[in-house]
Amino acid sequence: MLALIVMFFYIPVFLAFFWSFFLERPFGGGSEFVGFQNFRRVLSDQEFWRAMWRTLLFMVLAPGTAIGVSLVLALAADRGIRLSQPARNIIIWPKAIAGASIGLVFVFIFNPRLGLFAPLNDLFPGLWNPRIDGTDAYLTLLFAQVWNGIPFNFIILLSGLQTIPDSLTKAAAMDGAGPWRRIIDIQIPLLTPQLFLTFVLEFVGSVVEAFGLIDTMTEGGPGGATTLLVYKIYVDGFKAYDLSGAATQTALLMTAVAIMVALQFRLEKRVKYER
Amino acid sequence: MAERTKIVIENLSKKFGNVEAISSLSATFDACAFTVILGPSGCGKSTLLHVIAGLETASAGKIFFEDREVQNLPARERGCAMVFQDYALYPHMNVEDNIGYALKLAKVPKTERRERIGRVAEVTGLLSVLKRRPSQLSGGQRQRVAIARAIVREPRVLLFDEPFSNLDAQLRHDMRRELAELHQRIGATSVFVTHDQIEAMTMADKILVISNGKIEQFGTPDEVYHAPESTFVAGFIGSPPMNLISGTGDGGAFKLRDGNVLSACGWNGPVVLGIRPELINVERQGSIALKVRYCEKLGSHSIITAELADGQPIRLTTPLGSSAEPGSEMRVNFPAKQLHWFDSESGEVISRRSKGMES
Repeated sequence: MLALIVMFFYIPVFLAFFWSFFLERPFGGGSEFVGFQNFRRVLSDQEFWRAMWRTLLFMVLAPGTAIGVSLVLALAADRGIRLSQPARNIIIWPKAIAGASIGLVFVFIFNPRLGLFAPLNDLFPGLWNPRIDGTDAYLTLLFAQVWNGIPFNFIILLSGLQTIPDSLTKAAAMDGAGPWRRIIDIQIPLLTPQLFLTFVLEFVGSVVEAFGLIDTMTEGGPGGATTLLVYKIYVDGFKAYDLSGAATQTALLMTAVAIMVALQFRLEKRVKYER
Repeated sequence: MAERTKIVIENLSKKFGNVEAISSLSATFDACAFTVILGPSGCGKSTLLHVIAGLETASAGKIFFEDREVQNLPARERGCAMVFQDYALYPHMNVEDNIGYALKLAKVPKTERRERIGRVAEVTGLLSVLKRRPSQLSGGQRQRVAIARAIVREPRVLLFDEPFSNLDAQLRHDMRRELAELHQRIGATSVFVTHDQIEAMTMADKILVISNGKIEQFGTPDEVYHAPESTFVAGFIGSPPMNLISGTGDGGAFKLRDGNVLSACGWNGPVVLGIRPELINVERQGSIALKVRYCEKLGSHSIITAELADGQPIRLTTPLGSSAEPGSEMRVNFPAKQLHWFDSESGEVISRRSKGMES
């Protein structure tokens, strides 16, 4: 187990950092130590910063929306509203669908002429077209990512809600709290561990898993509007054969994600409590 | 301190699907009294409490707090407070916030809130732990926080749902005394649910014994102990409970199935005789022969389990020092004044039955 982790996780991570200090020849045949030259080159590239900014925005919007929607669904299912039993099952199914398939489906759903918004385009021509409009493309990508994340978050949050003892909610009701106050004062604070877990996973997922979606849906376009950093690394490395540049960007991306996850863990220590 | 509120329950029913947890129950809990609802697990006692509190809705019937009809009001408009079996303290709040949560929701200003929390914490001995989280408290302290949280609002009605069942025996004893004192001081109408008859006997002004969602008896601890109205109450109260012996009244004598006469009897036909284990006299010339099966020595007294001539079990307690060997014979007498008679079918006490049955 440990050997596998080392082989498939730690060694690649280490190599990415290692290569970022070398200039690699595109068709093999040796490399040359260049110090921080790769970093200087990448950091002064406007395209890198644009991709970074898009990635950061994505890292905030996708987890936020995915967890927000899942929380509402989980709270509804926990209260046992009508049809919550069948809904519970149905919501979980999409978890079994691969990112690439989701991408393909959403390409159809958001197709300007065949999809969901086709009638809207008939009324206002040119209102919705993810193939031309960068914002539309970004929203499509965001939507697919959020949709992809809901099943897992829903399960985690619902099971979290169900571990909160019934008597706590009843006690709050006796203390005079209505349903909304109970959600805000009791259920959400007690759901912090699960919220934290889903947030960290969604956060990392929004960087990593988005690749499959971008590749099938937009290929980074139009005009680079959906080129997140992961996709840029892939294009630079495997299409443009700038191996050193790709390794450098990988190192930077990993560092950024690591710092943010570390910050989240710092935050979690503050809100931790024992049941 | 609290307003005088009597609780009147009229024909209250509660169904869960097809299962009737409470069936057409009527009772009046006096203002400022400490009423204990006693019954075995699954008898509907907690359900009854939750319906009074407003945590469950009644299927039928009415509940009045004094003159106000409350059965359709949500819990927070009824003005009751409740202490839960597992305390139900909010784990993410410290003791002070736990106690003050209801006041905060009621928009009591902060300074007054502080003052009231302080007062209640003093009464319950929690002043030194106000800043701690529930997880840092002992079981007894958590129990006190739960009680403090309930009384800080000065509720008209205080409800207790088996609050002491998670405490060890010593602590339970102390908490019983503390709660009784607290009740004297606060004077809120209190309803206390328990399956522990010692809690019921020691704390109650009146005990409501229920089984299968129906009232078996509603009376003072003395009445429930000395004048049980049914075989259920007789067999539930007391440790060990009353002996219930079935036999037949025939020509002025109570006979077992094998014809042995146990005592005189004023009724004819099948009947159940009840006698408390501690009131059976062990006498060398006793008229009733028993075969000893088992003897539990408890120090202050011994409990002997024996068999009557026809094999029915009977238990008696004997004073300090006396004991009996399993397998041996002993002779006892039933004092005539201590006998209770019950209908063999309905289980009701016979003195309530029409006089026409008497011979």
